[in-house]
Amino acid sequence: MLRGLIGPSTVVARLKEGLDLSSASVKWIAHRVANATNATGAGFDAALGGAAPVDVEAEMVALADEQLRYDAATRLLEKAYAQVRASVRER
Amino acid sequence: MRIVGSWFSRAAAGPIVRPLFRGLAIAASGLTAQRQRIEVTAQNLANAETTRTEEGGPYRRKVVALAPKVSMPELTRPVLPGDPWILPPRVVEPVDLLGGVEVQGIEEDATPGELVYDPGHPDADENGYVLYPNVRQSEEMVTLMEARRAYEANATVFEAVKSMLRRAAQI
Repeated sequence: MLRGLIGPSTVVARLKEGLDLSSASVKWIAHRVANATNATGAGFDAALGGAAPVDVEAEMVALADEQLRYDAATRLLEKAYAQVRASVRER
Repeated sequence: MRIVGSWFSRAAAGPIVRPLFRGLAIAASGLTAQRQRIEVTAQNLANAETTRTEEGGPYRRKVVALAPKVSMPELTRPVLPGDPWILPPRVVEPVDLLGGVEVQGIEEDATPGELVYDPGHPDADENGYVLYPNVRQSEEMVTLMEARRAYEANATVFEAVKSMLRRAAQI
């Protein structure tokens, strides 16, 4: 029964994927912001798909967006786990 | 021959950073780089009028050379079967290689300084000219402001990652 609540095909798995994606996205934002003032963007950036100038404002907007998504996903996960807790509790 | 510690071995440059905290490490690398830029700018401004150095001649403006950093390159090494280390081999995603920024060195600006006619100066040449450092105060102030804003941006990212980790720990 628990597989129906927290198994791989449930909303919980989707939410976990969402958290992983948000986490990876924030790492990219952090990396771009950390390299915002580099005079030369060649080398590592080029190897990862081209070096473009960093728009710090756009990165901050993306960061806020990811934070909100992450927060929402964690709240939804809490609800899902609360459902599991409620279903396994005696009474 | 067994390859030891594919994941947790110490990288040649820098301490171990677990994947969970890499966002923090990336932002911290940006903070370190910008702090060093500010320190070098302070050094340049402090020596804006220095006409004699140990190497001879006037002070030369210093510039911080920054470059993107690759995180833990040994991650790309395959784990051999029977390796007792904890984690199984996995595909290395580009996001696993992000390491932020690193200071590759502090280099000298090669542009010549200004010649000022000041025959009373102890470092004046036979024609009465003194070679001053190639430091322009306005340029240094712009660099200082840029580094400060970039430091703030990195600090914001650090705070954001920290709050996300805290939120995840509350699930």
